[in-house]
Amino acid sequence: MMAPHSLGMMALTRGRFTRRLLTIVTLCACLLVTLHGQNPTDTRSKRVLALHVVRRDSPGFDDTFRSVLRQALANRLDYYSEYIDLNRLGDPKYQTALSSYLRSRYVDDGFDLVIASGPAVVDFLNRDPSLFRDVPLVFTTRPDLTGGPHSTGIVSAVDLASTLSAALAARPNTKHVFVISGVAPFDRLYADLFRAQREPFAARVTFHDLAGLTLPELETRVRTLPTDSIIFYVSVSDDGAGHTVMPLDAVEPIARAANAPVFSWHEDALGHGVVGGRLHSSVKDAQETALIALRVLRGEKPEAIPVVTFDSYAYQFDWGQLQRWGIDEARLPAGSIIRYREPSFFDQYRGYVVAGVLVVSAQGLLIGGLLIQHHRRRRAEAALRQSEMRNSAMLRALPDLVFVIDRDGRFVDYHARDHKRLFVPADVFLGHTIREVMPGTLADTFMDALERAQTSDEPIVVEYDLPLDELRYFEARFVSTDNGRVLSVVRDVTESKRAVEINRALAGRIIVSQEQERQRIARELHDDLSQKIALLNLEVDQIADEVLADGHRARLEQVSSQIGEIAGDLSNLSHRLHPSRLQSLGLIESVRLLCSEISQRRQVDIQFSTTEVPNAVDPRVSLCLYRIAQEALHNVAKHSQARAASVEITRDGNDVHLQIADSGVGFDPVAIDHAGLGLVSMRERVGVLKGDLVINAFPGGGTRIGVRVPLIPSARDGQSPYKSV
Amino acid sequence: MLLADDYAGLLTAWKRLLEPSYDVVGCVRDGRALLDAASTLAPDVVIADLSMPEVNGIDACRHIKHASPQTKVILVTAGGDQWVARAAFRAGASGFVLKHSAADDLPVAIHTALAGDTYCTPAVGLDALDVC
Repeated sequence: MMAPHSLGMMALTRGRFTRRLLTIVTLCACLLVTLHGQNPTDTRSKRVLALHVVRRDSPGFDDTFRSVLRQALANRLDYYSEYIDLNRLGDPKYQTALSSYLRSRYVDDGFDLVIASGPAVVDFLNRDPSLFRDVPLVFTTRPDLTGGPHSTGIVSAVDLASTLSAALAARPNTKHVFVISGVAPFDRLYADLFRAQREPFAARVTFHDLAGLTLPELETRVRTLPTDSIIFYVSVSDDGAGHTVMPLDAVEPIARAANAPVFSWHEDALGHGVVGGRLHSSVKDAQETALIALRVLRGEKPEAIPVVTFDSYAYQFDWGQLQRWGIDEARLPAGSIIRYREPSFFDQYRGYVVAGVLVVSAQGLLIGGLLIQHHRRRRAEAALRQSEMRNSAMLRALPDLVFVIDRDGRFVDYHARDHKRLFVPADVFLGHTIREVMPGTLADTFMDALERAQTSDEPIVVEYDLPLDELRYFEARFVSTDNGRVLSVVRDVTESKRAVEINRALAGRIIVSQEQERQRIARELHDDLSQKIALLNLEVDQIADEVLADGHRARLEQVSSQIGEIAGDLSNLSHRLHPSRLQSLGLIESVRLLCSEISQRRQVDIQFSTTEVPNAVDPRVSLCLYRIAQEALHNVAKHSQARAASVEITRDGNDVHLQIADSGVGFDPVAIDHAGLGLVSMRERVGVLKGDLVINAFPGGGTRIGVRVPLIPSARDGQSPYKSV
Repeated sequence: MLLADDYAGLLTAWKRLLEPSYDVVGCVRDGRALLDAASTLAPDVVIADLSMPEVNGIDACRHIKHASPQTKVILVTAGGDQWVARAAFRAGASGFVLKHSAADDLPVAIHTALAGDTYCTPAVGLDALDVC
């Protein structure tokens, strides 16, 4: 049987992880050793000779062991390694030559320690006890083969069954296990060991031994294995055709070519295409051995240190191979180590990722903030734009002129839908003051309004007219805005003013028309019916005189009396409809009578006076003046509360003047002007004769109404449709 | 007698009423004609309608009385009240008679006027003392 030292043949570690682990473990070991009492006075370098059965290109054990010692001894180490060809060690000639070589090279060199790495080395030394007779020996071996009297070390059992068990658990459908091994003694040794340990599984799977095939043959063979197969790679050091190969060199192409997963038993194979298994670790063996070696180097007797039973196996698997064969990690034994796991992007660039995420987040926040700010600004701008559009639309819709005037009366800005409506062009008034631009009295009015608007919440309204292409009327409203500025909205009210005047004129004409119609009816009643009745009555009276019978005469007189009553009623009706007395009495007498009547009926002392006015004036003038006098005196009696009034009719050249004055409560002519049809009709009556009406009245101050009409109006003015009045 | 009224029917009726007792020298239809006739015919009494075209009764009365103070003027009206009557008397009229009671009142009025007094139809309600 072969010993575990042969495992070193596969020691070709290449994983970064492994190296890092090794360094850490080494440092720990050094620390431990240091604490365990290095003799400070012993400054001589320790001389150590390590004998391996591994080749120089599989330095797992040797490198680890030397490294641990060097660290622990602070480089005071004189270290030698010799590599023994295991496959030739069975040859007595080789053994003799090797003994001779070692003796001649090392025996007298005063070594402090010899390391026997592997059972084959222990066996070799046991066969030649004189070699390194007095030098302490520390070994790594299998349980049933230990060293001589000055030796100690670790013993480790070979476990191949656990890998098989784990492989079958990982691939539960497996029916075939192909076992690959070479023909070298080491290969055979382990193939035999495996054959012994696989017995319990024979009932479950079929084992196929692929031993002694050349590497190309193996590669071909493993390409076409049945689908429910796995491969157990033992070791191939000699392919049976006389080619010595490195086990790790062999496993890689086989695993690459195979159509089934390859499992093995040594951790050095991991990373070379095998899925994994319960793997033996040369590095751990080396570390454990080194710890014991250090104790010996520090003076402990080897025989005083008990041999340690050490198990360096561990379940380890190659993540890439698990992926390749679709093996679920859950199917692996508990505590399995997964190697070569492809680090995720996050694992690889954790720092960058975190920093990147932070930067991106910060940028995101910044961008978010900017976006929010941008959005708010956009919204505010949109609102502003909307507001401006609304204002602009309102301005465009306004027929008015709008001026912005500062506190000094300077035109700052303006809006005009129609520039022709400006009093002067914009370049003439912009930047100039009201006083520079407007006519004198109007400028005073405007400046006054400006001043009042600055302290008033209500708009200040000014009405004025300007001689443009024709005389036009305006209404300016002054409203204070900001910074003492005043907004002046100017509206052309000419049309509405004219409309009001037209309305008034129309109302007046209606009154005149009504007057004329009444007059016509009154005339019909008076001149026709009354006359006929009078005639009728005359006839009745004459008949009554001629009738002799008393009874008939009395009845006729009764009829005459009734006719008289009808005539009286008609006369009254006629008079109410139209002052017929104007025709019978003339203007002066009619007005005088009017004054007398009202004085008596209304308890107002009305004084009438007249000069140089012919009683017979134009009927249009008579009616106009009489009606005005009638309306005015009616108002005096009804509203003025005056105790006295005066009426005066005078002549001034070709004009007649009528003046009615009282000392009563007066009235607001503007207020009355809008509602009083009486004053309207007065104005109209005067208007149609091309005369003037002046009303001087104010609350509490009495009333004075002055009328001027031409004595002889032109033929068409106020002409009645009837021949005379 | 000189009669003036724009209504021909009445002129005829008055003429018929008065002719048995008085000499009717003329009948005219308007104020202007009345003034012309009055100055040429020089009647004792003028009976004139208050409302006449051209020149009304009051004005005509004033002119006649101005030109010939001894001529009596009786003004007749289809409808009149005390105020009109006052105006008539102020213009110099000697009588004021309502047309519909002319058959009764006119003879009285003429008689009174010729006697140098004034007469006012009672229906007007004007006291003789109120005149002037």
